[in-house]
Amino acid sequence: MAELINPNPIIHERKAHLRSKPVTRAEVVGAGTDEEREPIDVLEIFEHIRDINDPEHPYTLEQLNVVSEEHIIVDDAKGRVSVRFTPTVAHCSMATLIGLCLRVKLLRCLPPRFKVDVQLTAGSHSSEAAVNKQLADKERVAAALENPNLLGMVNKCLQGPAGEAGGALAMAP
Amino acid sequence: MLASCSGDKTVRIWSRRRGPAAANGAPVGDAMAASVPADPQQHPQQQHWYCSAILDQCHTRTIRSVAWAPSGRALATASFDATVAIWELSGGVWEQVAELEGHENEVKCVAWNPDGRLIATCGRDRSVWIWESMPGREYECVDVKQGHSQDVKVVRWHPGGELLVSAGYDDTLRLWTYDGDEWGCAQTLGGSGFGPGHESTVWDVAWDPTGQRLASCSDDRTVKVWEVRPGAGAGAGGASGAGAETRGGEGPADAGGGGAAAAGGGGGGGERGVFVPSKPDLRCGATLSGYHVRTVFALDWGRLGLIATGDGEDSIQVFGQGDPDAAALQLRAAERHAPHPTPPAAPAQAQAQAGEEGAQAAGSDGPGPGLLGEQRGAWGRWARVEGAHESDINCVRWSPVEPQLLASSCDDGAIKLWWLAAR
Repeated sequence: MAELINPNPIIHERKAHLRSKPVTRAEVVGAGTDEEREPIDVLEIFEHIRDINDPEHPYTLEQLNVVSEEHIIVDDAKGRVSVRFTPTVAHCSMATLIGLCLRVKLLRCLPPRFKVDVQLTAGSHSSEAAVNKQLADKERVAAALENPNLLGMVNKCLQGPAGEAGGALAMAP
Repeated sequence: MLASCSGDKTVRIWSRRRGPAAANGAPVGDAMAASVPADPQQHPQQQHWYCSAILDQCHTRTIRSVAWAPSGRALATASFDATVAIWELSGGVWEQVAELEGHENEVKCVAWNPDGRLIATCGRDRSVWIWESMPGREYECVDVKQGHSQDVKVVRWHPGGELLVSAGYDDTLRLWTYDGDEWGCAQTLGGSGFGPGHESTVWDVAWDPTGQRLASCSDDRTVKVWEVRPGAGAGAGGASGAGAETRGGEGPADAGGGGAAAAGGGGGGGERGVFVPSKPDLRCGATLSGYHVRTVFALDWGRLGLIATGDGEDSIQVFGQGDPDAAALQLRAAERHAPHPTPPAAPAQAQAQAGEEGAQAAGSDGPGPGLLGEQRGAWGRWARVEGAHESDINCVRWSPVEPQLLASSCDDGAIKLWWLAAR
């Protein structure tokens, strides 16, 4: 990539670990553990996504304030998770990739009964409706994840802090 | 027989187990669970199905769509790998006999026309392709239609044969007709300047069994029924407008069809003109909104005249028109007439039968219960199964042989069969 879309992003502090208990879990489908399990909450969702790498910068989505706890809604009983994210610049061409990373990460972490909606925060992007529609189209998401290059970029972002990713990006139109 | 396709790059053929042995004993082999509960006394429609064939090692990516030829002796499969494969059953084995290449990338739907001569495909490259079956299992592309501004999710042929509908991500439906030389877009439903249409991606479309009307479902969480303008063809104006709005309530109490009673007459119940497939002139006659809370991914219009839908809320819903109580009486009478539908004698016959009857459904009444009622009056929800599956429902299809039998498929890999019972 020749030029960075946002050459000077504002970096935020990574917040102190907010909860001491481990967030990894294995919800056993159909087993009688339902009564004992703790409901999934906003904090847990945030723990899953805070350390996703930005596709462009060597910082995490939390450090760039792309994701934050205020923009996560969880309804454990209904199995719903809604995550809104805010690109650092309104014309960010990485918005679909970031959204795809969030979706993939949550699909991998959450029990299948959860339905995950990933959208831009209102007014945060010049192509907000188009990006949101693309991210909501599960057929396009599925097709995109069959693309080895794109999947590679997603996996790189999901590796955690450090590591660089770049190159041209085109999510399934 | 039932064919299913999957992200696992396989197609599976499911056959109904026949004979009295089916009543006690577990389904054989790689069987799927029929969804009907296990008490055969209470549920005489208990069926046992098993996986009779797996078609694999052909497509290299997700297989998104599968379609039976009207003869029931061939299958077409469409894949994200940009190809469409044609399969035939030969000597008890399914063999790939042709490959249709041309789409630039993901193919999302494939459909045979009612006489089996034409195949339509569509995909991410925004195009609709029409192929003709030639002697010697050759398939020739006869036309490529660009018209949609985004990827095309679905194509379906009119039961009359020479009218095709396509729909997709650009929120529109397009009707394609043949003028003797080439295929052309005769009408666009939705989109700017074309009247009220869907507000988001159109995921599925279905013609009613008589070929008079069209239904579509969308990411906008509605189902729309498109029909000829009142008095169209006779030159009558007026009475156009937005069509009837049928809105569902939120409580579970309306599952019995309360919505139908509340909506009253409206545009949906008025006199309809006669639909001429070669000159399509449709408008939105009814919008079923408030029933689905997430994307409606699939719908099918069965021989009983009922529309079944499957959605991203894991629910299956059935919509009917007119008086649900009268329809239930009619259905019960039909069930008394033939209380235990007999499974066909052999799988090969079942296949052929399914094809022929499917083709017939357009015109005359086939055996078994046909359309319920007069197909007029307000639309309402006649049945709903919440939590029908564990995840999003991607497809629902009525059986062409048994009008009360519905198949549904889900993201979790399960296929379920449902029997519509008259209460």
